[in-house]
Amino acid sequence: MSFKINSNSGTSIAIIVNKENPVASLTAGDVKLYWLRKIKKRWPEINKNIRPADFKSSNGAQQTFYGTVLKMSGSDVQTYFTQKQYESAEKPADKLSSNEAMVEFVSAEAGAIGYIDESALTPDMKSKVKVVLVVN
Amino acid sequence: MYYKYKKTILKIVFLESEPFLRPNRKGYFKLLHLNPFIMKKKLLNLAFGVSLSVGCLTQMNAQDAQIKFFGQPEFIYKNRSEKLSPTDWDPFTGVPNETVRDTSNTNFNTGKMVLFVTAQLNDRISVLSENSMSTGNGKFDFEIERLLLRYYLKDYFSVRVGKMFTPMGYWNNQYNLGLVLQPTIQRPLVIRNSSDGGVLQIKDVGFQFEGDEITKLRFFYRGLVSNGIGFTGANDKGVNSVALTGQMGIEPIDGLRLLVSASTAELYKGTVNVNGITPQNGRQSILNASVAFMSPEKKVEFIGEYYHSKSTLDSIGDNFSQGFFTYAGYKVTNKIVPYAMYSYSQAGTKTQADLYYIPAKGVLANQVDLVLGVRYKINSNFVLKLEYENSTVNYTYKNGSFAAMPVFGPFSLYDGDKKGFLKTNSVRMQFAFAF
Repeated sequence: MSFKINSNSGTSIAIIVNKENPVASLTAGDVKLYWLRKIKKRWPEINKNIRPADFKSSNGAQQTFYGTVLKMSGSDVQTYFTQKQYESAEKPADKLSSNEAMVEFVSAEAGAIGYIDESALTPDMKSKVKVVLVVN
Repeated sequence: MYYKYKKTILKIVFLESEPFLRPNRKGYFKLLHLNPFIMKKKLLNLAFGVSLSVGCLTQMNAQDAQIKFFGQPEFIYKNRSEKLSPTDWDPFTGVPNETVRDTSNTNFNTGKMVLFVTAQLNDRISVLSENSMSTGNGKFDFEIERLLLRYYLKDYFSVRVGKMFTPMGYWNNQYNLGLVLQPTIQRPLVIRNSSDGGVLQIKDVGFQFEGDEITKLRFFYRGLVSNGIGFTGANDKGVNSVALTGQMGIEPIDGLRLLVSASTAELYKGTVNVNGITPQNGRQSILNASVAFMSPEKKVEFIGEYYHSKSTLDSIGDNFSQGFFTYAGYKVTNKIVPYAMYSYSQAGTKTQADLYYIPAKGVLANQVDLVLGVRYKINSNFVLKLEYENSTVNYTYKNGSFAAMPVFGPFSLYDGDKKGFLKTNSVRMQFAFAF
């Protein structure tokens, strides 16, 4: 089961985590805190590093994710991760080149949390990951 | 890396092992006996090739390394008006020079090139390396700014080992040579690196334990055990004492940090400190309180820090200095941020000099800096900063203070205190980038 929230952007996105992750659903605020590793560096239930996943190139899903969930510009997101890397050697978000690559990464990495255009989520993709939030 | 050097590695392993493993007529490999010196050389080369292979394969299992370069070329125009600096008197007569001198200069600086590398070796271990290179006055400088390993055990406990920023204040741990991240062109004086005329030991080599995100107040702490003042971490320390630095704070609202820090370290006569050579043995303690609000989501940004230093020198006693700064900026747009910074630093009190910071008896000094600037963030990798700075250093030479200086000439040819100043107006432009 996952929550749904409305966005002002055109693209509906699904927040996805690895199937091993016992988290059933997250609010947008929780997604922001976990994706930016603000309150935790590791998923407490599975004791794995939180691995935020992002897209290399700007797309509709990214704009929705940045604008509605993170409430930050793309430039601020990059600066945020650079700052964390500079201060504490924290690894920045992994960058993926396509929807398929995003699903493959999240399904392979136990601690991954990413997002994808909901309309691009095929049944086969859905079988590989867990959706914890939908942003319409 | 393995595939890049695959040919070289295979060549070494094959060529150096071939004489040992040449097949005989029946197809079995036969060990040949060669000249002992050649055997030894080939064995060493074979060991090197195998080690290189193992090293490369081990690297393939580690999560990818991140490499960044930081740079910050600058343009500076300065106009100075000066009277009576600490060395401005005739060494033979002891008569101070009270002439006001005006100078100006214009410089284009390359700044430092910084190589910044991080890597996640496994789920819990990460490493960081920050190295700077610069040229000036015909010489090349290379410095290992930071080199550390971090082991993450829990949110509330992890450790770092190596060379790192001392956990004093907020600014010192957030911004250094990654100037694309720093809100202003240079640090306030009280936390400036010694090579930039500053007074705080901003880095040290040691062991730090730390924790973050503890309770809903997001309590954090740092505890550093390190070499201390005057030691570079290159086996040059011949004493047993260590410096202790601690910090604790909370983040009650996202982006708002309130913290206090303290450090204590032995002082050793003759060691190099931030202001030259330590005059006597003793101890230095520094206290700090900081508040910072630097949230990327909010329009307002603010940093305020206060530092108090007590240097106890063996036969001189206690010396006190203090300094504070406030920074404020406002994001007119996501890209444009006008800002202002006020900084006050005082060596000594109003009546007593601090011989640790200014090793000349009877010299009191304070510096007031006002910076007005604007920051234009072209993107996350390129930031342009433009600043106007008004800086005033005020000197007070207590009666007889010149007697402590050069050897020749009569002492103290004047009665009463003397006042001096160094006033600087400058315009600076910095192109900070990362790639």
